[in-house]
Amino acid sequence: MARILIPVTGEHIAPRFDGCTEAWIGRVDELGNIVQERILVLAHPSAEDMCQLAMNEHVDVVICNGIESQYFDYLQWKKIQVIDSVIGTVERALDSWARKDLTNGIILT
Amino acid sequence: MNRSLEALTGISGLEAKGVACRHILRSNLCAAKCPLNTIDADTEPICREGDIIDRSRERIPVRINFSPVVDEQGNLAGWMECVEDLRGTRAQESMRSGAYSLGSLIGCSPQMDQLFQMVPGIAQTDSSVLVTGETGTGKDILAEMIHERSARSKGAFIKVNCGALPETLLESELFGHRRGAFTGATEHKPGRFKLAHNGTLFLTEIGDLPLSLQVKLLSFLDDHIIYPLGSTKGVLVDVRIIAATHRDLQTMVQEGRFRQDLLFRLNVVRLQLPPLRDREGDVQLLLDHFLHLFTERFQKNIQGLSSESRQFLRRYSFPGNVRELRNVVEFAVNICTGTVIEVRHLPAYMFETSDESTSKGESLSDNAGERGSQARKPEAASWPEMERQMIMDALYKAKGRKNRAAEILGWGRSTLWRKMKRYGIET
Repeated sequence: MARILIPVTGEHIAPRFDGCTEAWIGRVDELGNIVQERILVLAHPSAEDMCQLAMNEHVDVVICNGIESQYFDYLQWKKIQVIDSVIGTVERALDSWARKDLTNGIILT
Repeated sequence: MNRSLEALTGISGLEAKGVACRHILRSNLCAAKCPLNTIDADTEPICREGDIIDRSRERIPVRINFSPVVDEQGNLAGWMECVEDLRGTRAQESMRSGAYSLGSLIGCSPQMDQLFQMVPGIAQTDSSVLVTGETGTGKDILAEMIHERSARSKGAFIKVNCGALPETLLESELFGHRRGAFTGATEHKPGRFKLAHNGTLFLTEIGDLPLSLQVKLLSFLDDHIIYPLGSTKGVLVDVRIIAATHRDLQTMVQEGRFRQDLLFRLNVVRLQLPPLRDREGDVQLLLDHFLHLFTERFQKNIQGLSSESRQFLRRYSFPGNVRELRNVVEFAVNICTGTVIEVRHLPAYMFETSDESTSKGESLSDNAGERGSQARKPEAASWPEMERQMIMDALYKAKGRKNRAAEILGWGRSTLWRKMKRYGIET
């Protein structure tokens, strides 16, 4: 069971980590089943706030698209796995994660 | 996607096929206000500055030009985005901007320093700017600097002098006209607002704008729609307004010559350029700058200014501000045949008006030695009178010895003799 955070725009993974106000947070089991999910909304788009949210929610994995290296490194340093440059919908990203083939830079069309 | 964009984003064209551009470019423009949401078949190209994040997680400053692509029927078929990497430009800009300058604006005084701190931030916004200041303080240059440092820098910078044209012509010039709108209007004219689309319109001498046009400008500032003469259809234009004036608009509002509501709309960001006399230390800096500039331009071998001329210029009030200082230095460099600019190389009018213009009415009598003889010159009413006074002082100092007096004045003995004869001075 892992806690995953995905910055989202609608159903898609948001193009930028620092440019979105919505984050999908859920608990997903090894088979990819969503045990619990919710959408959290930030007051304004901010990479710092998104990092803070990941910390507060004790997230294990962040799946996102464009992220600056400083935030990527920070999250890694905080023992949060970051899979970035992922393009696609939340659903497909979670499926891919469950299959253990979700990698950096993957395009899930 | 061409190879440059592939290199910039780190994503190949093959991978990007069928994916929305916002996921590939990952620009801050996409999230905030994607220009493509408003683009239409007849929309003019839109230019924006922002940044993208590439696959190596680096933030890259870019300028993106969005243009509609239309099919044979004139319908919107798609759009084209031209992405320009600004990293090289930004690096050059940071190297070029000196500690005491912002583009062509130069100054080290606290007032100018404060202005230099403010301008980059203001340039990045889209707010209207009102630049005020005396004549010759650099209002036009400041407006251009704001444009060049803004996201609209790729767009046009159109300058209109509101006081230069009669009211009827100005309206057509600003807003354009349709064919047949009036006698002689044989074809459509776009107008300056239309020409400045995606750029900046600089309205200088805004205080001279007729009241009727003030209303039209007010209307534009409200909805960004212009109505060309003879047209019932408005045209949406994306233009930033920078206005400038040397007049006191508050007083003009009280006198009913300027609309208060227009002043409020223009006065979003107000930048006041201080007069040169209030810019402590800037005269010296500008003197050296212009001296270097004109010495190189005219290929002269001038080493600098004499301490007397430098001191005189430092105390002169420069009612024409930086423009006057520039002209004075240009004149002196032209006139000077030696290696040092002396007081005699400065324009004569400066001495004619020196009583009023020398700041604080200070006399230069505190100078010691040889300088004392020339230091009183600014008090003279005219150049001949001042020259006569110089000769008298030199002779007095030299105790009547002409050789010594000529040395003090830096002249040849025959020059002194000739001038003494002209002014009827006998020893």
